Amino acid sequence: MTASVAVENLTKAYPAHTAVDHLTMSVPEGSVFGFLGPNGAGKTTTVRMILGFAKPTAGTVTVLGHDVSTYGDSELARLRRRIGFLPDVPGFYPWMSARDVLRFAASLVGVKGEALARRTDSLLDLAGLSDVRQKVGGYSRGMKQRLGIAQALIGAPDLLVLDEPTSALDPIGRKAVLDMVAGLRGRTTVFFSTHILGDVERVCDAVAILDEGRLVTEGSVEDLKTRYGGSSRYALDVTGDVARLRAVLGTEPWIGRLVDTATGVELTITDLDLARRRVPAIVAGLGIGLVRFEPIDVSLEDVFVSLVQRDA
Amino acid sequence: MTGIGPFLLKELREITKTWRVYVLPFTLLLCAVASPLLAKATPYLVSTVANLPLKLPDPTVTDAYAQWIKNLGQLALLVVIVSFASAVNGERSSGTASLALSKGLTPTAFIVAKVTSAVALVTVPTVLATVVMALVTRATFGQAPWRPLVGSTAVWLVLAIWSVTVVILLSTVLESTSATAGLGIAAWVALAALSAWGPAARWSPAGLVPAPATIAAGIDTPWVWPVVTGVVAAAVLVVVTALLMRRREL
Repeated sequence: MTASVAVENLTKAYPAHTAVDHLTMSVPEGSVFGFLGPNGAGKTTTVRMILGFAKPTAGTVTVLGHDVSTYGDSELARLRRRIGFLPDVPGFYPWMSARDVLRFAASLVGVKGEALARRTDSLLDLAGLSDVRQKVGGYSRGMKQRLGIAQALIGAPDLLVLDEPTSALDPIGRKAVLDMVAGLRGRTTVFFSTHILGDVERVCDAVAILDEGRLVTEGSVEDLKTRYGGSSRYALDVTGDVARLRAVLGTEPWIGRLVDTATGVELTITDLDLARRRVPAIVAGLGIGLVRFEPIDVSLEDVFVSLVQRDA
Repeated sequence: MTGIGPFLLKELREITKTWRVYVLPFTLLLCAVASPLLAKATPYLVSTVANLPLKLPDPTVTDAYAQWIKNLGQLALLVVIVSFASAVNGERSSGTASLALSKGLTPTAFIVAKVTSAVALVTVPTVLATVVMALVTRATFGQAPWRPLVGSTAVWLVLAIWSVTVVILLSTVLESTSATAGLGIAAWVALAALSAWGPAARWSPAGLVPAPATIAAGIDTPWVWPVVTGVVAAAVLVVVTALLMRRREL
């Protein structure tokens, strides 16, 4: 599959620290790609290099088939017209109305005539700002965020780069944005940088996790859950003497980790076939009742936390 | 210079939609109205304040023009410098620059549009204020010879445009608006100090500082080289600013 964004050995070093360190990843065309990482991981620096706002110290950035790292201003300007961008804190001219903002953005990317009127109206509807007469200077952060998404879409971009698009939104606004992002799948490549794991889990096809400037892992959400979340985590709930059960299970070689719960134990199993045979036998042998023995759903958050270990 | 048209239009609309439309034009109009009246009233004010039976010479048109140039050279120039101190760093810090540049506007177009709108904001009110100055002077003194007024104001306008380009360059390099304004004023003071050296006053933009006053007084003044070098220096500053903007990371 063609990559809309491909970075190879991308590095951005400042005198005091290295923000991005030999990052290599690719964003498939038409996908919704989640770019995850804790604060300070290097996400925004990567976004800036993808857009050509910052020059890499080393490595290459290819966007929509163009090597951005070697481009001059005019070439970059032409390429940026095909990219929609929402910064983490979008800035607008406070004297403009939402319609003014969209018209200004449209004039820069070359949208005019009937397309301008049609897109402006539909994007104002999407942002829930059609009936707002206030100037942008009086908008709440959520309203600015919604307007930011609308202006990013005005040029019907081939690539949409969203930096923390839902961070300032209430649950309803957030749902609207995520629905919109999901609706773009297949038509526009969405590069979705965030630290909100639930959003990624909900809309993204593929995910890259960044920590301290380095790529920790990359793959589909399900793939990551399988690889790192341990589909081998099982809940075992019983009635009866849990302490004896734990003591017996603690001696079994196919158990990696054993954690007490309110109603039994949580097991990390290293040999699932053996476990499926042995667990019912052990429970029966101890004469206690088996209530539940089933895999625990792993969330992206579990994967993220297991991969990105931080000192508190 | 991709995107210069829409961005310049935005800049010009911004002038009419914000405080900028009032401050500099109001200052220039105030100077235009007040300068002849102040010149006319000066002998009376001095004798009243000093409370002495002084017999001061009757004020003339030359006094009115001198007052006008003095006001332009101090008050108006200060307003010019402060008005444009946030031209670039203000847009960078508010995030509007990155939003516009992400839409295909080139850094060069960004700077050229900024300078063009700033020059327009200085030039148009200066022309209007000069007309008002001539009318008020004629009403007050019965005459208003155009040559010293237009000549001195035109040379001051070149100085103002040079100052605009200096301030926009500083605003591109510095993050702080107040530091930009402070260094802009320092550049103006340095130019004034340099003008005390004869060759600099004759052959360089430093001559733009004293020339308006002597032209207004009807004294034959060497203005050609200061104007030519001032315009060239302003153009060079715009090119340097555009290059600096291209190198700056957002």
